[in-house]
Amino acid sequence: MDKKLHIIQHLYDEGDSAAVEEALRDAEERLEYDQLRDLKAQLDQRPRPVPDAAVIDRIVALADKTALAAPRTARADRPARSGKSRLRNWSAISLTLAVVIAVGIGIVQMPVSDGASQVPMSSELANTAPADVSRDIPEPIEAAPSAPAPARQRLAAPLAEEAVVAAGEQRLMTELEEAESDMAYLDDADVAGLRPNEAMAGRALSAPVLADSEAVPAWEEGEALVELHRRIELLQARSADDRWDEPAVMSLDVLPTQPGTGSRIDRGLNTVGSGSQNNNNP
Amino acid sequence: MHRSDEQLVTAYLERGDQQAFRVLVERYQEQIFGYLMGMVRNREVANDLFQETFVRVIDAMHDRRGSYTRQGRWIAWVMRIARNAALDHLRSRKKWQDVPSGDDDDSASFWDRLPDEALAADIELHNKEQYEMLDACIDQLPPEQREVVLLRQDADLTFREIAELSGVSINTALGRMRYALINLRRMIDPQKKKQLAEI
Repeated sequence: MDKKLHIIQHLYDEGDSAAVEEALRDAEERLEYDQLRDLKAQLDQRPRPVPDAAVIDRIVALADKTALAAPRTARADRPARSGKSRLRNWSAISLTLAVVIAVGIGIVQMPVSDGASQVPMSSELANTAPADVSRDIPEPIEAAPSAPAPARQRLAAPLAEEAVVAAGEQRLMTELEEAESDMAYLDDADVAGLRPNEAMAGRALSAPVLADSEAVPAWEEGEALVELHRRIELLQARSADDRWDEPAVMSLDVLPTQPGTGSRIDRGLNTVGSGSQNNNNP
Repeated sequence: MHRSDEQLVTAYLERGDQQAFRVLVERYQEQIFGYLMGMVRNREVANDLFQETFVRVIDAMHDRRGSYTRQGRWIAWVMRIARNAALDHLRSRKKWQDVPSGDDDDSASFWDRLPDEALAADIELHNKEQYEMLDACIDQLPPEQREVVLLRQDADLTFREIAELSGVSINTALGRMRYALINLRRMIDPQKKKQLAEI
């Protein structure tokens, strides 16, 4: 803004006084400021005319008449709310909230997939599901305790089929992972100069102890348990004649020279082969 | 107890307080009437315009015509209405004067005739008090400068309010005021010298 305009603002007590002080350092500006200030003082002394009193009376009468005719803009105070209506409002809000929450939970727990598309497949699978698999799969009775038996069977059949497939896949994956892990560990042991059986025995010792929840086999692993049980029985039958205090391998000079001992030697070698994996005795 | 404009307006609008409205009118009668007198230079016309201004104000406050929003100063809003009333009057006079009258100077408008009326005022300056001489000098100012002087000096509006009222920038309003004061000083000095010479 021009310095001269600052002077005008300052004359009428407006604007920034610092800017005016800077402008008034100039002698020419100072002279103009003094002249205009004198003129303003003369203008301020002028008497101000007033309208006729009758005009003001007419204006006030008109204002009164208009105010009486016009509706009041101010509203009357509303009566205080009673405690009963307040309680009623809160009850309604609580009830609405509970209904909304219940509906929300119901929506969240609903199955995402369409049930109609599963019905024909489940009926087919119920007819073709193997008996041993359906025996291993627990029925979802807890979800529908009052459901009739055919309906429960229809519900269990697709679940059993899915469980069999899932258990097989999981077992395969587990065996593959174990095999890969063993191969990697054996590679490391080879680098360290250990023999494979020593390395595997050491790994079994250094393996972490499973927690109780991990040690208990899952119900999907019934087939694997049966197979494991059979292997254990087979090993027990083969090693029925062996004793723990006997040396696994005897020197040739203590071996009997009678015929028929070859089968015993074979059994001893088999015992060593299987014992190096199953028994960790030195 | 001094009540603010806002309190008085509220008392009138919400409770129909007639006395509150009278206080408002009397509080600003000098500013509004002084501005109108400066614009029309006729007391009777100024009285009519003063009344017309408040008829419009009352209608607007009751939402009958126009709208009153409680923003800014109440007097600034009323001065806008007073200015419109004065300009309506001046335009109507201009139309009446622009009707061909058979005179030689029939093409001259109201604003063009101002110097002639001011010339008559100059003749009266010899027998009048100094403030009358000042009023006469204000009358001789160009319309834009005269309006700024009246709005700032008589109506006590700020330069920002004047700028908003006139639809110009604040620098323009300040510039017009500066030129108005300089012109007034140039007009007053010869008059004073003339008075001194007569003495």
